[in-house]
Amino acid sequence: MEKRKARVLIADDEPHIRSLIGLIITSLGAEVIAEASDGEQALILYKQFLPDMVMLDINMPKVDGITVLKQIMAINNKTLVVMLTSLNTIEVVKECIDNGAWNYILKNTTADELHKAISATWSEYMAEIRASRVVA
Amino acid sequence: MNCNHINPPGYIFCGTCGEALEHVRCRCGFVAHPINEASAGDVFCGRCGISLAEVAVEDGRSAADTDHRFDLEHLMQQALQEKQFLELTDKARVTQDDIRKLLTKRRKKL
Repeated sequence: MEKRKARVLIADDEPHIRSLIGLIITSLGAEVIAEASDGEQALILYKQFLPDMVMLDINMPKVDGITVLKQIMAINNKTLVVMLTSLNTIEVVKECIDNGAWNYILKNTTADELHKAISATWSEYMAEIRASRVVA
Repeated sequence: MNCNHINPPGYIFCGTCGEALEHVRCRCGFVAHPINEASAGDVFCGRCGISLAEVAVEDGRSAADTDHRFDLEHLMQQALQEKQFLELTDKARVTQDDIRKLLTKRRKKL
C-alpha cells in the first residue's frame, strides 16, 4: 500500500514563521497544503482541505487561534492541532489543551528546538494512532 | 486632601482641578481606589485581582507633590515594591518544559 504524505495547514500572521515552519514540516516528510495569515482564512482553508495537522498561532487578525482550535475540534476532533505561539501563561496553555490541542510549542526558541519539538509531536501522534488501532 | 470631583480609576491627580489625590496603591502598582474615584469601595485590585485588604499599601501622599514635581526617592521605592510583587506573580508563566510535563500528566489521565 502506498503511504500518503501527512497534509499540514500552517496558520500564522508572520510570513517568516510560516516559511520556517514550512521548511521544518517538509524536512519531516510531510506536505504543506496551505498557509493562512489570519484565523478566518485558517478556518476556510481547513474546511476546504481537511488537513491531518494544523500548526496554529494564537494572536492572529480577524479570528484568534483558540477560536479556530474550537471550530476545528467541532469539525474533526481527530485533527492534530499544534499551537505555536509566544503566549506563555498557564491559563492560555490549559485552555488550548482542554480544547483539544495536541501540543503547545513556544515560539521563543531556536529553529533547532522548534524542529525537535515538531518532529517529536508528529512521532508521538503517530504512535498514539498506531496504539489506538491496535486496541480497536 | 481631596477635591469633590469624581475621577476615573488610576488617577492620582484630579482631571478637573489638578488636585493631588489621596489614594491606595496595590502592590502590583495599580492605584486601586483613590477616595473620590468611581472605583472607591473596590474590594479587589482592578489590575491583578488580588484582595486589596491583604495587599494594599496605604499611601497617603502622591508620588508627585502639588507642584507636580516627582519625588524620585518615593518613585524608586514604589518601583522596587512593584518589581518584587510582579516577580512573585510571574510564576503563572510557563516554559516549554512545564508544558511537556503538563501534557504528559494529561495524557496519562486519558
